[in-house]
Amino acid sequence: MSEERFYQLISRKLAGEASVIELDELECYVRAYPDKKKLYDLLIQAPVDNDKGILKAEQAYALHQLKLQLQQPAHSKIPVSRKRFWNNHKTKSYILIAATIVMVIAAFLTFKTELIIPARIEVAATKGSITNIKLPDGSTVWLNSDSKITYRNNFGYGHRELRLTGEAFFDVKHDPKTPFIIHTDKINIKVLGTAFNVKSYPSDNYVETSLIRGKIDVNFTDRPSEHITLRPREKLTVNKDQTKGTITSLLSGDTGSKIRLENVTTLSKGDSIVAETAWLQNKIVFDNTSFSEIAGVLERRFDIKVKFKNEKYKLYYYTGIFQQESLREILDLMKITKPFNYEINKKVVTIN
Amino acid sequence: MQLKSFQIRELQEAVALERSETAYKVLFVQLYQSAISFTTTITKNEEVAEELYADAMMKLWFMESKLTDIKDLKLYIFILLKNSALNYLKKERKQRFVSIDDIDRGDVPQTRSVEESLVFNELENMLAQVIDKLPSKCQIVYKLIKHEGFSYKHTAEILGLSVNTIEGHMSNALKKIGTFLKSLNLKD
Repeated sequence: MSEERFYQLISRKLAGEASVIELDELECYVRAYPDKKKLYDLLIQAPVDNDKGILKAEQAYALHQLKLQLQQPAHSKIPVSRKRFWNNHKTKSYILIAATIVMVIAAFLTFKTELIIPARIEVAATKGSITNIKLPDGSTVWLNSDSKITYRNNFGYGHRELRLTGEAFFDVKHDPKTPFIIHTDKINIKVLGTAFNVKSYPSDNYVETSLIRGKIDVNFTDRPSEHITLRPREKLTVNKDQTKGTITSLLSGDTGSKIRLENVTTLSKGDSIVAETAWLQNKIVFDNTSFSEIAGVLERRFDIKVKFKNEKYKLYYYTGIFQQESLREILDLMKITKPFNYEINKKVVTIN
Repeated sequence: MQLKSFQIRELQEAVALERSETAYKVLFVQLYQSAISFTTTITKNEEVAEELYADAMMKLWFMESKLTDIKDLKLYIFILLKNSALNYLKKERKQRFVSIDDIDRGDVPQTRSVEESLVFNELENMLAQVIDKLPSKCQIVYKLIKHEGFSYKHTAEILGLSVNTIEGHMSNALKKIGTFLKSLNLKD
């Protein structure tokens, strides 16, 4: 048998295309030439399973599921309201006229605004709500309560830069030519196409960023030359009062450091849900979190103000996951593990 | 674990008719590696491959009950991915037309990182590296047949090539791998 024929027969066997006669021919050949046996076995053996791939797939699914959930309500609403509206021919023509006028004005403005500074666009999520925005470049941003982003109206044309106050989850469209840059108070994050969470509330004393997939590069507003690259499922926390030279201590694993690099927190072992992005699914997650930090989360979520009568409560630590619970239910559950009293008076909660 | 075609059919129906998220997740996770590997060989970019796969799966979810009309879901997904991957190349290279014959241009993808290589045993690892170095078309054909269990006909359908060409690429891939293995001087 020629070498060509040998490989052709193996090819047919693997594709399930070989006839009985051909299979026989191959078998006889291998039996006649034992030195070909090992080679034959290696070529024919089934590929090995890779557990690492499954883990990666599970992570990818966690993100996919989020996107799916956020798209769902919009899709199920369309048939009821929007269809009837569109079927009305009169409305349709009015909309077309309106659209034409808008386009003419837009074209006019585009020519004019080239000469002046581009206008800034601001999108905000109020306390107690989460907002989903599609940016002009196709990237998606989910804004958590009491957060906002601002960007110039030419975003997506030659630049992709925005400023964030508060917390947001970004799913960035891949575009190697135009880096996506997020500016916060203390750090700037540069992305090429990835999904990650940034937390930078003015009231917190730290900035935090967690990466779900892809690769991001973080530098400091006050010293742009120093930067850190994050790999998937890593979290970077930067205290706002950090000073020069602390990056080195971060790599040596010093826990007292003002800059910390660690893995993201998963809710339970083997779970694909990441604590840092649980807010996207309307979950509140505390993982050994101090009451003073919890107060901030509750204030944003329920649009309330929390006051501590006694400072010692601020140092109570709690762990737990809440989904649908009301403010009262959450406080009552917290009371069970470590007792305190509270009073709710309109929008003010007093802990005593 | 490779899903058998009847299992895919069952999951497909659970997604289409019962809107089962569990079934959908199994499909997503189990087809992930194959789909990403296939799409990355065309796009030369794993992140883009991940995006295209997510888009394709999103599309399937919103087909709702129409999803049952698809006769061979795995074949359908691979055809979908090939088309969107070529579309991506078209935009990337600013060409009006891109076919599967054009994919050997451009950079060789780094599909396996160092840490990942350590997971495999030595021979497995070397074999994987030889496969990674095959010309893209050979590599795709080899993986579709050997790893995914597609027939010549289905592989031809996915790539838009003739059955004879597929057999040529497959024999060629095996020959190259065989030559490499022989050079290692295999003993039992």
